[in-house]
Amino acid sequence: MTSMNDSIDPVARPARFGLFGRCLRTSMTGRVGFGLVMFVVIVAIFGPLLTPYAPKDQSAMYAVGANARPSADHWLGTDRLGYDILTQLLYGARTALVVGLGAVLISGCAGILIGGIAGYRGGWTDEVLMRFAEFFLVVPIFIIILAVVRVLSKAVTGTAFETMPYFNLTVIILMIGLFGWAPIARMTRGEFLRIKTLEFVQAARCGGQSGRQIVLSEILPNAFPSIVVLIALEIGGAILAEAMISFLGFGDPNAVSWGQMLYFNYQSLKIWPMASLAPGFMIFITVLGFNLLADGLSDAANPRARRR
Amino acid sequence: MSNNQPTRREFLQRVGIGAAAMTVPTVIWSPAHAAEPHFKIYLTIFNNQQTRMIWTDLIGKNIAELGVEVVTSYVPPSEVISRRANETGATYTEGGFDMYSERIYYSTMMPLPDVLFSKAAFPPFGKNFYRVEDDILEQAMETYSSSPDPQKRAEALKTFEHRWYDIQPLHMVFYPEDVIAINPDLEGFDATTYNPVFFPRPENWTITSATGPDVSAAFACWQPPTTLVPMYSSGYNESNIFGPVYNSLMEYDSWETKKAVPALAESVTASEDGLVWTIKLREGVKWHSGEEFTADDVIYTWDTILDPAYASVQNSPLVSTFGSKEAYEKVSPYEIKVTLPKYSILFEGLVLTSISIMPKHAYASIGPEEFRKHTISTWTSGFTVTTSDGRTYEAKGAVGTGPWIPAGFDAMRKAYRMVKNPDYWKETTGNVTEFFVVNIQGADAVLSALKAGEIDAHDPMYDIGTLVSTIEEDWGKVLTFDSYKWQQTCLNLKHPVFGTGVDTPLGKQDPSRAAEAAVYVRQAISHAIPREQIIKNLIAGYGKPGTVPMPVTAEEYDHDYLKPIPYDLDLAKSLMEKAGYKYA
Repeated sequence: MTSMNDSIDPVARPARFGLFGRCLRTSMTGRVGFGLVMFVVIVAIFGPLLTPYAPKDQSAMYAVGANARPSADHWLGTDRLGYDILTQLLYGARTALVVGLGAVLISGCAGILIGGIAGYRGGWTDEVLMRFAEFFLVVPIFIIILAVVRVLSKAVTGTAFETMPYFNLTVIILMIGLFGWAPIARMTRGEFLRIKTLEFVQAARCGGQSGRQIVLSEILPNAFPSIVVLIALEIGGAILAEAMISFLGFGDPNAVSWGQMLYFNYQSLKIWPMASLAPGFMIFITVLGFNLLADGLSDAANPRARRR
Repeated sequence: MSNNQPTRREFLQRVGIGAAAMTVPTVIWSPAHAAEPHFKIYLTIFNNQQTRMIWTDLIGKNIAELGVEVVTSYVPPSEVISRRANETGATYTEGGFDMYSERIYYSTMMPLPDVLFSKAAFPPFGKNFYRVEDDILEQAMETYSSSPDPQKRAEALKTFEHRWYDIQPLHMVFYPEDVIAINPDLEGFDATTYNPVFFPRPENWTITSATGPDVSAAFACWQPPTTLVPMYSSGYNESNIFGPVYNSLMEYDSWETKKAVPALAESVTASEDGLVWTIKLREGVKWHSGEEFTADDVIYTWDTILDPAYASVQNSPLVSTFGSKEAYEKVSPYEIKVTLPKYSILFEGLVLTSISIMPKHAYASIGPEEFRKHTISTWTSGFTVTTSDGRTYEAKGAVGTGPWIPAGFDAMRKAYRMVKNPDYWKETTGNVTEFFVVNIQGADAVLSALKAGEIDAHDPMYDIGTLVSTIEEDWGKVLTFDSYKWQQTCLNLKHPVFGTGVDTPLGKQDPSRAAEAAVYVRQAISHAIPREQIIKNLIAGYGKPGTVPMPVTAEEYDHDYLKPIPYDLDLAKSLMEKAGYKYA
């Protein structure tokens, strides 16, 4: 622990690597979060091998029926649509992760780029970009996403996009990503503003490094710990956002989504609670996992703040 | 910083993003579909009712089993409503629709297929959005609606049913049963609602547990109304509220018998050819304002609906019945003579029973542009009515002759309030003196409200069938009624494959057989609908498999001919093959 205190001496170059490792070693919440996230990842990768059913297989409708109780064929029973609940949960993990990672890939890249430029350049560039970011912070993202999903799904009729599998889901991912960059940009800008005045950056500048080299090899890696925390939080947020959009009935009819499972089953909650509670539980542990991981990363990035 | 600790980058590469990225391809690339789809259907599903979303989607998946590419999307009803109203029969890619599903009914107790399926009912003014256009059906509907001879009418209806069953223009999925849970202490609730002719009749309700002279009852329906003027809407949300306030010339005695009996009319007699009708009006009936009801009110109502400036939804059937205002005249204050230009079943089936009579003395001064915004439409404020003898009456909503007097919109309860009319012309049996119509969205919510004692009954639109097992005897009594409605999948019959058939292989090869090929495709689709499974799994058995647009409990339904259509994908494929499609 003492070595870590040393590593964030303000004069010395701050620690750049090992954030995850430190998170796992020092933070219980981080460990739990990481465990939950890994569970979902493993389910997403290997889950489908565990089930004999295709994701949209409604054959139970012609056999045991909808809302059937658990049996040897359907370990968690079937839901209101005649889907095997376990199969839906397993495939839903893929959708959740793709949405979370896909959306954050977009918002992360955009946020770091815009925030980085604003923080490094300062002045008018900073002013303009941050006002632009504030615009994205205040727009009612859900209404816009719902409208765009609706309009786009109509606009692509008869075009090549229509044959693209999971088009609606892709649009949802894009929209969550495009409307999620502003917090990351603000955080990146703040970090860049702080770090660019530190001595090692000035030393690099005196050493003749170009602006690009300084940003990429000096400032960005040191700003990363704070950004990673936000990114982990946003992954959870994106998964929740997709679940909410699906819960409102605007999801992708072709994708298997926990939010959509909830939407179709919540009315029969009293008839067969498993069909609603199971996807709810999966959304809960996934989002909780990413949030706890973010918490752990935050602790690891700021050990002093934590101890105080 | 110890050296044996992995770097963040290494860590991410090894386990984090690397592992998660493995999931991406499995999501993006789905299993390949059938080699080359036979054709494409855009299936638009209303996103407002889960049960229907589920069964429509299930039907789409079964159609896909026939090698058809089914592009499914969930859309708000407003989108389909605007798409289907085009004047040309445009397909989905042209801005119209290919296929959607809906619950539908004739809005009258007498089947009136021509209102929904005749060529005269094409959009934009009519409701034949599907563009059903078949000579035999058209002839049958024409004979049915224009023949005063009951025997001829029955035969025409039979022809209509048989032809429909054979060519399957649209697919009836099931005939739902109405399931309604009521307060166990409520007696006298003996009918479902069926707009606009059956609405709650709280004047006959008795709350057995109530003590004291003031007894209140509440009825739940899903959506707030758009207008409370009867000539502007025949929807459930509206007629549940305005229904108890007004009367028609004839009304239905009970849901069980569904027999029309005189209401504001005391007697209605027709000449042998069905062209000349004499309507004797009930004397001594008072409007809520105290004014006497006379023939002038009936004439005023018909005149107003016929006047295109008022843009009434009842204008089209009234125009086709009467032709013009010349068709009727006041003989005396209590007698009207109607001379129809030609016999029309709409007169008995719709004009006499479904048109609420409006008060001339109270409404005549309201211009066409004010009607929808007026208190009579909103019930949110009041207005003063002056009677012919100079008295004034403060109306808190509509003015009618019905058993219930509007008492405005109760903002606290978010409910439309009515009080019992002490001067109602007919004897009533209930003890309820105050009646509310509240808006509650969702089947779960409505049952919670019933359990909490907030409502006493509800509209059948909640489809609580699947939740019946959750209702306990001490707070809910479950009643079932035949619904007189059906759930159907609607096809655009201008579609080049399943509509006109010109794009089917058979149609291309021999254009004279295009229509025949389209019939094969529609029959195939019909056999791909798992009706029994839908009824068993999705509506808890409260329904019967659908065949033709005729209520299954109607006496006109020909049970001998209309056998349930089996779910049989092999048979469906063989029908597709008849249309020229090949299967490997």
